Amino acid sequence: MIDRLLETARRKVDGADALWRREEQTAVAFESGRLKAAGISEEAGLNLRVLSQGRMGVAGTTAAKPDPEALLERARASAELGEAVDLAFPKAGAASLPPIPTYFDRTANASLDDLIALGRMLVERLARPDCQINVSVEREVDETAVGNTAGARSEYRGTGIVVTADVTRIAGDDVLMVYDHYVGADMPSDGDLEALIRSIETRLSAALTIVTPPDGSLPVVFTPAGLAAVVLPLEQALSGKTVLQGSSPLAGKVGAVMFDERLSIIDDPLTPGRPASRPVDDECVPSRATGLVERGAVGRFVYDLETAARAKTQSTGNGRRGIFGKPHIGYTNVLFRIGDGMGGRHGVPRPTPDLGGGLIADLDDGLIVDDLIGVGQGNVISGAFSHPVGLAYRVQRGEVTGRVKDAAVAGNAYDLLKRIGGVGTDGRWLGSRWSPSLLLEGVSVARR
Amino acid sequence: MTNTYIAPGKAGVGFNDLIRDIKLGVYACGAFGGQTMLENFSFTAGWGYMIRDGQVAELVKDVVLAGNLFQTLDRIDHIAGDFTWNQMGGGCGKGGQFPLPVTEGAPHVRIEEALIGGDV
Repeated sequence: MIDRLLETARRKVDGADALWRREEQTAVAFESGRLKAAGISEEAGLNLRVLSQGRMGVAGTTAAKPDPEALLERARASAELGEAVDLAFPKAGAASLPPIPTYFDRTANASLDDLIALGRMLVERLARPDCQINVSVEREVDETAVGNTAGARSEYRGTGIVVTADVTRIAGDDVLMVYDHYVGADMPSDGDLEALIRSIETRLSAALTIVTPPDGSLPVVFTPAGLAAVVLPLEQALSGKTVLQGSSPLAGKVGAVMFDERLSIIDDPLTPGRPASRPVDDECVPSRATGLVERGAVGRFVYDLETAARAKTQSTGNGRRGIFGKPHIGYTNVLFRIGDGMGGRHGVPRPTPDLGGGLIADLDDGLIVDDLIGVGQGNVISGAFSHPVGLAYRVQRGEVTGRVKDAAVAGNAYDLLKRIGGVGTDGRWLGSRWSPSLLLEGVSVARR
Repeated sequence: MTNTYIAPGKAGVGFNDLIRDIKLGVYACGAFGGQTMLENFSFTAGWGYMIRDGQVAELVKDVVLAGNLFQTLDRIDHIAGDFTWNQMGGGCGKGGQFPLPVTEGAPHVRIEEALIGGDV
């Protein structure tokens, strides 16, 4: 399909690139322990971008039989009002693409009954008399074709599976929810599912006792899930788009040491077994790893073709596009690498989920933050955050004493990461991010 | 939900009447966003001002309110009569019903005590 479209485009506009993608999703949901829904959905669509008289236009269609002429005409019409940009599409790759397994037969071939059985097993294992259990299993099988009029062309298939489980306990006026998930390109192993169950059980049993929150400037262990508030400002500031717009506090700081010198952060689309991995991005730029932060110094910002053209640099292969709208910047797999071999290595089975990742033994008074409320709202890129806790535990004299409520934590992500007080041994994937727990010092904790 | 609002208080009671006896407070305006999780909530104001000795004072940023929904509603001690609809044109996505159009409205409301942010 895209070859015919690009052929038509070659005759009528100055340049074009296109992406075709088909996704089939099989989803199973258990609510309050019972099978609530099971279904299959499929969507396919074509996205076309053209360059016409120096301006960019886009159009998309989800028609079962797309009409290339009509789609091209719509893209060309939008280019009349489009932004002027000097875009260069990648040429046909001389070198072969990096080999990266994205398609796992076990995932693709799992039947609806297999997925229901997987969900039911989790419901049974997590059942407790005083709790409600919700479980969902979503499997995706996709096919992608991408190419442009400069001759680059690629296609690949992929699989992905997401298993989520949450346990809710209501006791009087206290509501407690503990959640975890597995995300992978391959089906979860028995060990992965055991780790998921243990992670929920560990955090649930430690949360049954409610204790008074501490107050003041304290050491706080951010679990891989709790780190979201600290990571989000960095992800925004390391995007080439915010650098171009002048809103990134890291603009102009490439090479400058801004963080703890043990900290490296990598965007790696070639990590085996991850659903975000792929041989090329959605603009047909070959995948490669990008060092976002290298030993505490600002490394590279991530770019797609358009932002790279405007910034007069090269795309890092971080273009992502949907069926409608123009391509934009997207991260793939974001990995925290801290020190030498510290924090465990990704790829190895998840260790026993010990709360705090082995970082609390020396804490006299502090918190473990696993979930914050409202992450992403407010002026994120400034690094300043202030959130009430969703799920957090108090640590006293090296031990978890219970869950805290009605407390808020605040800090500045850039300042807190200047000095990492400790790195957990509990490194794990959380969605498309791999990190261990981090002990950060001087976090402001307020209570009511 | 359809049109959800806090009913106005006594007609003629305005914003200035609410802040007249406040020694130190915060005037939270607009909305960056908010999230509820079970009985807890977080809300980020678009912008804000300090209230000092009954007057609106300097502009402040990063005003984040946090707390327990029910306790916070219980701590409303004054409601002005200056009701307006918040023309946000939002949509509710609960239970797959997006984009069900919903609106909300309120007069100025005074909460006698709320947890605001922390030192940054």
